[in-house]
Formats: sequence, C-alpha cells, structure tokens
Amino acid sequence: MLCVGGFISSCIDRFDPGASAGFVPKLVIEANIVPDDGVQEIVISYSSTPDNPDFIPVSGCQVRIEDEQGRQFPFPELGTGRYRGVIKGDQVVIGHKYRLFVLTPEGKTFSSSFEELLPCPTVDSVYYELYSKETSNNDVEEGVQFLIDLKANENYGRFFRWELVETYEYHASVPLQKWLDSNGLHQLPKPDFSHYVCYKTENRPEILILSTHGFSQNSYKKFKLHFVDDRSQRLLYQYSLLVKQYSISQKAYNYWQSLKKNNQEAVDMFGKQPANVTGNISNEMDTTERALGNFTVSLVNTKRIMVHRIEALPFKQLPKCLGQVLNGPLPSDRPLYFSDWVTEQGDYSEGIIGEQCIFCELFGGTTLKPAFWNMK
Amino acid sequence: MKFFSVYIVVFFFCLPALVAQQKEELRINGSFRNLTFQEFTAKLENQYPLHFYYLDQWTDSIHVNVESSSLSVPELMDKVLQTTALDFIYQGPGTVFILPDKKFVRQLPEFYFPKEVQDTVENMPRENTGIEEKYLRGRQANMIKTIVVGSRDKARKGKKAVVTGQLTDEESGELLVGATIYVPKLSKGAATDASGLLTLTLKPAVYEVIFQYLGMNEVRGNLDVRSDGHFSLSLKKQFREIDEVLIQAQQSQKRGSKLGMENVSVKTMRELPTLMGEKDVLKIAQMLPGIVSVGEGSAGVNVRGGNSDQNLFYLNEIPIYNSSHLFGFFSAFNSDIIENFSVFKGHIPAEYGGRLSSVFNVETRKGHKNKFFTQGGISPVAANAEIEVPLVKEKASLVLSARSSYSDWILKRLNDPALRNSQASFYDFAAVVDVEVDKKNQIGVLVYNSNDDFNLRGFSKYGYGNQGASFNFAHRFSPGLKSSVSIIGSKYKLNTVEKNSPSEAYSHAYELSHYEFRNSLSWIANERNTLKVGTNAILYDLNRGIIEPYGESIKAVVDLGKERGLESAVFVDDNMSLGPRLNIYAGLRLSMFTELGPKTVRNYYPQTPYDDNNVSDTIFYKGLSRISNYLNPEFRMGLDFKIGENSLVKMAVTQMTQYVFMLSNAISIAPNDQWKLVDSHIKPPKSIQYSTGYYQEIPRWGLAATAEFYYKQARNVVDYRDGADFLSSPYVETTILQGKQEAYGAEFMLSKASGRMNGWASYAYSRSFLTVNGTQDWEDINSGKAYPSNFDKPNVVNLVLNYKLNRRFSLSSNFVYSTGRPVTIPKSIFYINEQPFVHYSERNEYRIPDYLRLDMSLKIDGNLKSVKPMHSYWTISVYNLTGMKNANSIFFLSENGYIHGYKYSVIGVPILTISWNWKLGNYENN
Repeated sequence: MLCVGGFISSCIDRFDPGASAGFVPKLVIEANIVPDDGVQEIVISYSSTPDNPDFIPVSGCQVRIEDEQGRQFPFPELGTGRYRGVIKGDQVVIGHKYRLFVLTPEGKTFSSSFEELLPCPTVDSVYYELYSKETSNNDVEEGVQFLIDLKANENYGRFFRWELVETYEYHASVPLQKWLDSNGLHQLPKPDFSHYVCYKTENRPEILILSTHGFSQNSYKKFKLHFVDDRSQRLLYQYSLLVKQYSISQKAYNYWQSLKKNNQEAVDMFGKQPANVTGNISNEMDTTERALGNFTVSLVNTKRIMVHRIEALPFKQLPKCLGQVLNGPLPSDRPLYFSDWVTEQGDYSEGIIGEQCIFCELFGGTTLKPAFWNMK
Repeated sequence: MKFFSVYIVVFFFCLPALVAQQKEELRINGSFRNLTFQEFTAKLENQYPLHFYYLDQWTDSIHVNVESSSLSVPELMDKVLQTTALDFIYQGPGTVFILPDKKFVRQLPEFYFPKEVQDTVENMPRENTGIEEKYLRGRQANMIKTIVVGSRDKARKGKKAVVTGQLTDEESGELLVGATIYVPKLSKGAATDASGLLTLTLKPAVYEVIFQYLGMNEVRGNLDVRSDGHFSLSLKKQFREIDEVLIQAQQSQKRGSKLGMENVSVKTMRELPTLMGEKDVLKIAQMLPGIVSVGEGSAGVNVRGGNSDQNLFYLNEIPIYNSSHLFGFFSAFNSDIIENFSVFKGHIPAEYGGRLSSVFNVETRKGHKNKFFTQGGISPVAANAEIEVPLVKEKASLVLSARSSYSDWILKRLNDPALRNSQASFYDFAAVVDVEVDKKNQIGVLVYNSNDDFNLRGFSKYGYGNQGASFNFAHRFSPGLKSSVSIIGSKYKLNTVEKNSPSEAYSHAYELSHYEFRNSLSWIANERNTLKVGTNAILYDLNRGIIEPYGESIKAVVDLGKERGLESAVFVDDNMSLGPRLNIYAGLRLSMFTELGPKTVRNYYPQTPYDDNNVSDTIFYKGLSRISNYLNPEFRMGLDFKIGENSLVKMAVTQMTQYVFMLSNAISIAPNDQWKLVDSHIKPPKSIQYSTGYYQEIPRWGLAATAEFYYKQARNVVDYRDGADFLSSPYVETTILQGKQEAYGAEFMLSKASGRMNGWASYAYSRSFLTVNGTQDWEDINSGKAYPSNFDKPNVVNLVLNYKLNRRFSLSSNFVYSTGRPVTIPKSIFYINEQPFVHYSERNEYRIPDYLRLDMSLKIDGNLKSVKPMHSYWTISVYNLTGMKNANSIFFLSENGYIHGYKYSVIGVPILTISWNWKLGNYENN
C-alpha cells in the first residue's frame, strides 16, 4: 500500500569554501615545555592557506623563557624555525611560574602569561580491549581500543593530557634475491632478509585530554586513547605504545579542548559553532594580535606497553603486494626486481615485483631494532 | 425614512409570517392628494410606523390621489398601485416592498419557506429533489436576503448600533473563522474572530452587505439594523471547489489590517508536497516570506531574523515548548485537527507577549455538532486518525485525534551505522471539547500530549514531550461586550541518558511546568473604538534536574536546581476607526516578571567574569521570596490607510519582552536543550520592530501583492561562551553572554487565490546580526564585532503553485531558493607537533552553498459520488525532485596532513512517498 522510492540518505561530499583569498599568515608558536625531559624545543612558524597546507618555519627569532624570579633560559635557534634550550635540575620547581618571550625578525615582541609548573601523577594502567566497529558500508572493522586508567589524588591538578608514540614492526612481502639493473642481472645465492623487517615510530595525532573537574574522585577508568584496526601490519607482529602523561592547567586544558573540538570531532547533528581557540601568547604592543599555539610548562610521566600478535584478530584485509607475471617484453624500468610467490589460488607464480614489496624502509620505517623491543 | 438605493426587494422568507401578522392590521386614515410617490411614502412614514423600499426610477411618473378611511396597508397600496405596473409586498408590522413589475414572482413552492423567521435568518432546508435544487440554484443569483438586527423599540436615538454576527457552515454547523461581512457603501467590514464572531457598529439603516468565506458561496443581502443585536447566517459550500483559496491572509490583511500576519489554510497544507507524506504546518510556514529555518530537518524556525526560541507556539491557548517531532523533520501538530493557522510576525496585538519574534497560533477544529465525522491518513512514517462526535446535538462536540510513528524501518536503511542502529519514535494526541451552553456562553477544553523518543545506538537516549490542558469560558454580556477566561496548564519534559563513555555516563531529566490564567474583555465602545483589555499571569516552575552518574560512572552529581518565576501582564488594545480610510491600533502591554525562591543565588566581584573563582557571596532565598523583578511597558502601535479601492498602506511599531529563553549552543534546537528563566544575572531580552507595508489587489487577474519592510533591534539576546556546558553547573550565568541583535528586511509576495492555477511567489531580503561586545574582553564573542546570525539568509525565494487538472487530480509544487546560511570556516592551517590544525575565520564570515529544492505532488481524489460512506485521496509526492545535494552543514577533517572540507547533506536524493488519507462522507465533506 505504501512505498518509498528513495530512502532518506544523508551524504557527505568534498567541499572547498575558497577561504584563501586575502590570506594573511599568522605567527604560530608551539612551546610545550617539559623541564625534566632533557632538551626542550620551541617551534615557530607561519600558518598557511587551507588549500596549500605547509609548514613555514620562521627563522631569526630571539626566544627565551623566564621564571618569576627573573631567571632567563635562552632558546637559541637550532634549525629552521626550531629553537632549543635546557631548563633542568634546581631550576625545575613545582609551583614555580614561567613565561615565554619571542622577538620576531619584524621586531614584534610576543609574550605569554605566567604558567605554573604542576606536579604529574604516575601513569596507572594502560591496556587494550578487542573492539569491533561497524562502518558505513555495513562492514565490520576489527581492532583494539587502547585505554588508560588515571589515578591521582587531591595533590594533583584536575586536568590531564596524554601524548602517544607508537612503534611497530612490519615486514616487506619478499626478500631481495634477483634483480636487473644497468649492470645486468643479479642473483643472490640466498635471499637477503636485511630489508625485510622494519620498525616504525610515529606520534599519534589524537588530542587526548581529560578533566576530572567536578568529579567525585580525581581518577578515571577506561579513558579511550586510540583505536588500531587490523587492516595494517601494526598489530600483526609486535606493537609498542609509549604513553606520556602531563598535568596541565585549566587554561591549557581549555586550549586543547577547543583545538580538539575544532579539529577532531565528528559532524554534530545539531551543528555547533567552532570554538574560538585562544592561546596565551600575544603581541605586547597589541594584545588583540595573538599567536596561534600555546605556551605550557608541565612535568611528564611515561609508560610503555608491548602488544604481541593478537590471535583473535583476523587480519583479513591486509594490503598485499602483487607481482606481475611476465608476459611479453620486459619493462624498460631499471632496476627491475624478480620474485616468485604463491597466488591466492595456491598456485606458484613468478614475475616482476615492485621495490616497495622488498624494501620495507620505503614505508618510512627503519631496519634498526629499537632498544626497548625485546622488553616484555 | 427612505432607502432609495434598494435594488430589488423580495422578502420571500417572510410571506408566511406576513399572513399571520396581518391579523393585527394597521389602519390608515387620511387624504393623499397630488403627491409624488416619494411624498406619499414620506408622509406615511412620518405618521405611521411604516417603511417603504423601492427605487426612485420606478415611481418617477406616479402621482398619488387617494382617500383612505381605515384602510389596511395592503388595501391602500392596492389602490395606489392599481393603475401602475408596480406591485408590492407588505411585511407586517410596517414594511412595504415595492416591486417593479406585477408579474414578479411573489410566491414560491412550499418547500422554500423556513419554519420561522425572527431576527435570525435560518438555513434553507437541506433535502431537496434534483429539480428543486436546480430551480433554487437558478434563483439564487437574484435572491437577496434581508437580515433584521435588533428592534426599533430598543433603538437609542442618534446612537449607533452594535451588530454582532456569527457565520456558520451550513453543512456542519461549525462556526467559520475569518469569514467576512462587507458594507460596500461605507467601505467598511469585519471578519469573524477565533470564536466565529464578528462585530460591526452601524447607524440604524438598511445596508447592502456581502458575506464571504473561502470555498463558500458569496452571499449578498441587506442588513436592516434597528438596534444593538445579533444575527447568524449560514453559508453554503461552493458547488465546484475548483476555485479554492490558498491563503486567507489577504482578506484579513486588507480589512483586518494586520501588518506582518500570515495565515495558512488547511487546504494548502493538504495539497503541497511533503517529506515522507507528513502534512506539516510549520514546513508550509517556511514557504512564507520572513520565516526560515537553519536547515533541512532542523527543529525550530527563525522569524524575521530572530532566534528560534523567540517564537511562541500556541495550540489554542496551550503553549508548546518544543514544536517538532524527530528533531524537526516533522512538526508536533497533527495537521488533521488544525482548523486555522496564523503567524504574527510584524504587528503583534497587545494580548500576546513573552517572545521577541512571533506568535504562531494553531487553532484546532471544534468538531461537528450535528453528526459523526472522522478522517485520517497513512504515510510511510506515521499514521493518524481524527474523530469528531456530537455530544449533545447542536450544543457540544468532541474531537479526538492521535498520531503515531513507525519510522524505525527507515533508520534501518540508512548508511550511517550510528543511525542504522538507532530507534526513533513519536506520537501525539489531542482531545477538544466545545460546548455552546447557550447563545451567550461557550466552553472550550483542549487536552494535548506529544512525545518523542530517540535512542542513538543504545548509547544516547533522548526523550521529550509536551503535555497541556486548557479550559476556556467565553461569555457575551451584550452584543458589544464579551469576556473570556482561561486556565491553562502545560508541561515540557525531557530526559537524556548518555553512556557513550562509561566513566562519564549520566542521566538527566528536566521539567518545565507552566500554569497560566488569562482573561480578557472585548468591548465595542462606539463606532470608532473597539477595545480589548485583559490580564494574564503565568507561573513557571522549572525543575532543571539532576545530572546523575549512570552505571559505573564517576561523574559528580550536579543539581541544576529549581527555578520559579511569575510572568504577568495587563494589556489594552484599542482598534480605532477614523473614517472610512484610516484605522489605528493602539496597544499597551505592561509585562512583569518576578524571580521567586527558593533558590541559591551567587554574587560575583564587580568587574570580574561570572565564573566559579569570582564568587563574592552566595545567598539562599526562601520559598516564594522575591529575588529579582522586571517591569517592561511594551507599546504596540499600528495603522492602516486605504489609498484606493484595492490598495492599502500599513505601518506598525511593536515592542516585545521575553522572560524565558532556551539554553542551546548548537545551531539548531537539540532535543536536550533546556528552557531557562531570566534571573538576577541574566536580563530579559527586549526588542522593538518598525514595519511598514503596502497591499495591492488586482481583482481583474485575481492577484494580490504585498510588500513589507521592517527593522528590528533587540538587546540582551543570549549567546554562548565557547565550549559552554549547561550540565556542569546550576549557575547558567557562567556559560552565557548577552548581546544585541539587529535585523532588517523587505518581503514581497504575489499571490493568486483563485482559479485553476493558484499559489504564491515570494521574495525576501533579510539580514540578521549579533554583537556581543561587553565592557570586558571576556564578555565578547568574535572580538566584540558584529557577526551574522546562524540563520542569516539574505535572499529567499519561495514559489508555491497549485494546478487543478480536473476535479480529481491536482498538481502542486514548491520551489525554494535561499542563500546558504553563514558558517565559520578554516581560514588557515598551522602545525603543532607536526600535526596540522585549523584556525577558523571570524564567526559566520563565510556561507555554505545556496539551497535549492523543487518538490512536486499529485493529489488524486477518489470518485466524486455525492452519496458514499467514505472518501479517500492519495498523495504522491516527490521531495527534492532534482535530487539536489543541498548542504546542511560543512565541516573539516584533517586527513593525512591535509585539511579537507566536506559538505553534509541530510537529504541528497529525490524522495518519493505515497500517502493515503480518508474521511467520512463525500468529496466535499470536511
């Protein structure tokens, strides 16, 4: 009796609002100082247009950090846009306040407000749970959700931030054995596995912050860190996660929260306005001119966990390196790598194969095993 | 007294009465020599209680020479007219109608005579044979009714009489709202109000009048006004309903002169294309100039640049705090119970107040008082039914309506896994009792309940509902004096369970109770002044609820607190008619708001932001003690001036104040948005609107054109601090900011109300800006600079066309174009920790792409047999025929180091729906 010809189907398409007209770059100062972490780095750059995003370093700045007692810590320029300094030992005092000064090559002085160094609790448990997510094409994505528990007490602040560094082992598809280059054909007597196993270390992009403000306890269970699916080799051999935990001020929390809202949250059904991200660094002569970025000082506590191959994950959708069966004249590219492989049907096949199937370094990793790799 | 302008007088109805009354005959004595006919009648009218009706040209050549010795009036007239071609009818006790011709039909077959004739003209008998019907129809064009109002005994010398009247639907006996009477000679008229009553002050005399109502045959007649009195008249449906009217606004705008008032007919609602087959009055309202919404499927409307919480929705007298179902895809009003729907967006009468932008008045059907009636419909998302039962014949009726959704099957077919695993449902119910106790007393009762539930993947559950009941008693003391008393109770509830993250899971229930008493007195003081005075008092009782941890959550319990406030008002509205061309409306509403205890109120250190760190002290106010108080006079002035027969200029100044607003930091209304009262820290928003308009009718083409211009300023309008969280603290002042709103625009509309092709076209240019620029930086949004409102859509074009192919098929279409709404977009990219981040533009500096949509629908009526138990019609409707992927919002994601912009379209394909509707009786029955 009733019918509906088209189902309500919402859709998402690419859209370019064309905001580049009349673009004026803004100064970006990234200064998250962790005094007990050895050498500290401040990065100064200009913002770029959305349709041509690029890191534009700013050289020639004079950068220093000052504490309430007037002690100054210079941060000389090390490389393009990178300024390094050291605050350590008895200069690192919980409860002390620090601020940042930057004199730009144009002669503008940017300074931050005073920020207090807050104590940081040790990292409690970091663990994972198997998790499957449904995707929009009716598929199921398998993987693990990493979680952290926070245990602090009233001596600590109520605002926390985490940074994650992941390292994982991955393998090339085949070892090196036979190839053709301008010098002719090479064939090794034994396959060379020296480019077969790689390790890659990356910073996770997620902004991870938590406020326990207003909670009955200064603790939290199962705070969601990140999700890793089984569609890459990340979890196939070994995976290591380094968690850096920072205690931050409420202002810094608000800053990160706005940044997160504006950048990492999904489309909201009811449509919220982007938050106005206001950092704490502004031009001394005109405080309405604010630098993007923020100055924070905080202590850090870290924890590393290792994840070995998880049997429960099916790894059904790993990208495969496919060879090309030789048929007709050889391609003119040199070098040309040869290999044999077993097809999905179980047949033995031989042909040419791309170099990214042999040299794992081409995916950004290194063959150098990290020092912590064999820890449990 | 003579009435030379009478065309033809045939008072068929009174012939039987005439016979009866001739028994107490008036006897004439005297000598009438060498008199013209005019002199003769003047002499008689002077000496005897007699009235003559005729045209001068008929009697120009007549000279009267007659002696009368105790002759009855008919005997005398026989003698006078014996030698002429003229004839006459005598209606006792004193009226003589001269007929132009002796062959003029004086008598009609028996069936034509009504049972009785008093001051009221009764309905014609219904059951006629085909031949009789044809005969009658043939006669109707020439037939003139004379309605006698009052009696000469009660006439006050030199004083005007107050005439009240009721116009009813002959078939159902229902009162007609918006039906008009017009006196061409005086260029004066009136329209029936919501209670079906019209009022007119006229000098005692006989007037030619015209009665009109949509879809009804026009009735021309004579109104013989003798003293204050009442009449009622029933209008008959047009035999062919081809030329129905889409908008009634024009009629009332011209004569009722309501600047910025729009009216949508039920018929329009039935025929226009809809989304998923649900007829929706609020969606049609958005086709009118000056009314927009943020986007497709978003709750709330924005009227003339005002926020969505600046509109007051009334279902009869019950305020509806959330007017949408399913987040705004549908409205909370079941279209089958709607009798009339009007929006005040310019001049708002003083009896209404409490919101800055508009008043939406949805009036329910009153129900057939004579017979059982039922109607309903089935669409892919919901089914609804309405029944009307006469409780006491001619006296009392009951209307019951219910609607329920079964929309989960649609969600199951969506791509988005979050929605696919969700459930959504809604229902609404209404009962209306209307009792006409007697001619002077009327009682109306309405009970309403609506509910929505939404369960998002089992993680977030939202529920909300409106409940309300109203009781109204109207009493007419005299034809010119009427009072109305109402008691209203309304409740808006919402509840949320949020368990997306176990440690932060919470539940929350919110409840707003609204108790209202209102009364008013309408008084026609004299010919020039119609006054309405009244009071109303609303007690708000808000329980903002407790945020309670859910499951293993460690979220702290937050009691958002309870609030109480008393909003009261007294108002006076005077409708002054200064001559035939000029009408002035002068109104004053004095509104008051008192914030009442018990409540804990914080004070903050001066010159510091309202936040937890700057609290100077905290005061607890005991039960019902006064915490803060606001008093605001609101002027409502308007005038209309008739330039010519078909054109009118209108002007108005309207001041409004609002004491309750919505806490919402989203662009459209979300199901968990709470209403909040103003308090000692949050000042009541106020506005003033200046508007002017021009109205032109082009009768030759059946067209009407309007142009309206407005400028509106509001202050203390609420906007939100970044990252405002209304659930973390009972102290709302810590999350909001108040600023100025400025809106202006021009609205043009061309409409054609009749003909096979009818509809309207409108264009609106409008702007709306907000400025939140406090004395300190923390009180600024957008660095204190003005920014466009979220719904600022400068250019809006709406086209609504209806084409009746034949009596069974009609084709309708909507076309909508609007400028895309403003958005804040990424202006630049910067890198932190090698990750790209977005820096946004100024607030609402850019716009989403323009919106364009075309809908079509075909309504197919069942057979047109006049006698059948049930009539049904199908509506085949295609929403978004061209499949435009209109952007509802745009958002940006950081992917592999690039910031990609995306546009999100809620509906990106054409949606075909077929819905079926039925009603008892034949095609015409309503």
